[in-house]
Amino acid sequence: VFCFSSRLFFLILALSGPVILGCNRAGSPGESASSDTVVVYTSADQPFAEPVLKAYREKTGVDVRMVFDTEETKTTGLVNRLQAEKNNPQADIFWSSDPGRGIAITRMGLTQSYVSPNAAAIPATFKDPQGLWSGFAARARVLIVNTELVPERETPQSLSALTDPKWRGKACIANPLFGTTSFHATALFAKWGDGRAERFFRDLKANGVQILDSNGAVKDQVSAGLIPWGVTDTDDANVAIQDGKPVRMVYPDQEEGGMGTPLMPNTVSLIKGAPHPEAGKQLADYLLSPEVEAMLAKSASMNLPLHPGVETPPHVKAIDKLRFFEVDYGQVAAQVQEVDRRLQSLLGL
Amino acid sequence: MRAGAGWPTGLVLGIYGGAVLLPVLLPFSTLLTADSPTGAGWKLSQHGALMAHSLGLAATVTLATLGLGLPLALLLYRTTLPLRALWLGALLVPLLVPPYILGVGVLHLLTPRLAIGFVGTVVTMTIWLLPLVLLFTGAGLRLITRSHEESALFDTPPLGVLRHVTLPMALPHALTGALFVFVLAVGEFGVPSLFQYRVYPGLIFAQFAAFYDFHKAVVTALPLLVVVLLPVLVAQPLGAGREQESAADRPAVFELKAVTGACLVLVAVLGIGALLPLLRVAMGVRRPAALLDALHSVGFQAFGTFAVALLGALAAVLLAFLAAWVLVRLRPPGSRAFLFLQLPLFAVPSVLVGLGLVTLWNRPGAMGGVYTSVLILVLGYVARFTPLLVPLVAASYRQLPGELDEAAQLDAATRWQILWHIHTPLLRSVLGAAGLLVFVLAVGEVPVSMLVAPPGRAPLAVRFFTLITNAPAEQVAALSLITTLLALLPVSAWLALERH
Repeated sequence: VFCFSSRLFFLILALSGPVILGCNRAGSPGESASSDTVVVYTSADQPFAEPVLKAYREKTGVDVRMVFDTEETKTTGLVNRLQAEKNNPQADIFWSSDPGRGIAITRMGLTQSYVSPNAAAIPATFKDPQGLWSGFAARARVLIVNTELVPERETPQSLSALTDPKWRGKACIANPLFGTTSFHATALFAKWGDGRAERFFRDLKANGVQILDSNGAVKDQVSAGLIPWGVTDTDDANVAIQDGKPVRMVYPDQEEGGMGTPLMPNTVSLIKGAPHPEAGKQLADYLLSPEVEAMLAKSASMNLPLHPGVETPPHVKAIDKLRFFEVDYGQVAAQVQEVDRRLQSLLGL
Repeated sequence: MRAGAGWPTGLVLGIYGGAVLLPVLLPFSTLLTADSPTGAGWKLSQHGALMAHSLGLAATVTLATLGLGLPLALLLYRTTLPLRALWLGALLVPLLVPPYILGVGVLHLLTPRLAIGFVGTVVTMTIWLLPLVLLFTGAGLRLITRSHEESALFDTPPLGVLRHVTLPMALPHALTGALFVFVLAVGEFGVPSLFQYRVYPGLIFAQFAAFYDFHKAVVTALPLLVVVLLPVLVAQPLGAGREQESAADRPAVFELKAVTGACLVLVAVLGIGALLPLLRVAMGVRRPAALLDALHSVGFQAFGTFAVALLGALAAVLLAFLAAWVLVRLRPPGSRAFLFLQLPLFAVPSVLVGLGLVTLWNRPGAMGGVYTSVLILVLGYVARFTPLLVPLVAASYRQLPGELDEAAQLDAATRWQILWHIHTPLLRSVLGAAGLLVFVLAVGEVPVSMLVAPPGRAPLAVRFFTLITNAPAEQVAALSLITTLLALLPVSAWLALERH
């Protein structure tokens, strides 16, 4: 029996060895500082980010090594990993799907300055003047409305509908401690001031707004007809529309004098102490190019280009056709955690 | 401690310390830097309510898995039920996939109206964790031998022997499995979050993901570690870890006779039921091309995932075997306390283990070489899952009669010869079950893998996880189907090997 077990053990080792080596065949980021390799950590959804990065690989021949994360499924991945690796960084670039995380790592001192020439045409509000982060390809916060439950003429047109007694118990938002909802909530505090914002969230709770675990859950529940409408991001709403779900997307507060809706740009940052800084800069240039914005606008993510004049499909609004409320992204990011703690207590999260 | 046992004890526990204790406990060094639980912003009413949710959920899932797992294990391991390997394979598969994916399937099957909240959470976690009770009970049932049951079979009908002899002897193992179910259930956050059922680990997640406050996350995790000691204290009087002697003859097999049909229907319903959520997700595949595309995209990755999981399982089993040998046979001071602490070690949130591994291994030089290779995943599986195995292997070790060692010593066998030539063959089935357990857990593992997997080398479960959000439904469905089929391969191979 022992002989059998030993043989089996060594057979497994012999079979596993080449596979392990094969898995590691491209070597490690620390092995070479050549510009043939670049390591990118991204919290952008893999179905949207991977084609962009693969296109870069095909175009340049650079070996792009990707690490993906998704907030949706409640992992606590990349920001914590970047923080834990800060004494011996492995990543060159952090591509964040939302400004909250992108600016958070800057505030943790994990990024280095790089002003990409390709970011020159991007409006100043969407980038850090020192180049510690640069925004591109934004999403907008939108209302997703079930067309079978809400007739077109009754479709809510404003975020304030969340506190309207007409919609008591019939609307939902994602947990405002996380992701773009967190940034949106903090932006409201910045725009309205603490008093009005706190009153809004208290009223929202009193109005029976359901707080779901993610923007994806908002999309799913509204699409399934369980909740008439909710607040989510353009990419979630568009994926539901493309899947043939009975939903419509509404950009809120677009009337004359309305406050508009916040934009959530992706951000790219060069990591401090990156093992391949030159390759990192080149990838940052690529991500900040009009070409990538056009790709993301045409994808199911339907991001809104921040460069002027980028060609987009008809269903993607140009930002100059959209009323969005301008925020100081750096300032809002600095307040996110304080507002989150307040909301945690206010909403019992 | 036995004479001359000092250096083997030091060697084994030293390796255990480096491979398991250090990465698991390193994050807790932050506690030395200050802050009391009150400083972590504790609110008794809110946190207490969430802890009550977690405990209620864990208790329900534990009772459900124990209630289903014990009779199922008896049927599958000790009776003449037809197609036992098939049903066992079907019931084990859910452990191989991330529970979030099972949850998505359950959500579709039960419809959100019924599933959202406690019901969907319990159903998903029961399907996911039932294999643990099955495997632990099965390992125990294999150690109960013909000699224990034969005398009773002379004057008692088989059902009576099952009830009065076999079941009580298998119970300690089933309870050990149930303990681990409790630990996993009480610390789970992804599934409850999917079903919008608020639980205590959500607070830990918020500290990590919303506030990036590592220190407070660790402080918030502490009550969870204390809570997992409760079931250990409850289970001890019930017999988990109780010593029993066994001989090396093969176990008896009970004839089902007239109840074969009813048992077959019951097991088939549960076996198919366990696969239904995955099949429901897989039903989204409309075109064969989608399946081929998905297979092409994960082909080598799947092979690599299984190889790394296999190595992790081998390393964890080897380490657990040696640790159990030291704790049970060499008995250094503090052995009982060391065994007792394995459960809280296993309860440490995976994300902390992952961050401990990063802190420990991500350094310039040779250690960095390990960190940037897939070996870090092997080390991750060892750190995460060895504490699960040590009590299992130790419980089985205690069942080996000490007389065997004494007889071998009389023949001048060395300690190592006894270990390899006597203990290893006798514990073969337990070690096999332990290896399968770690293998399946490693294949479905996400939090540690996501934190340490080298760029571009993420295992299949991580790829599935990062694709599930916003990927086209058909792609997710195809990946689900492929994962299920691939998971069946190693399970089937192991079952076939076991029969052989």
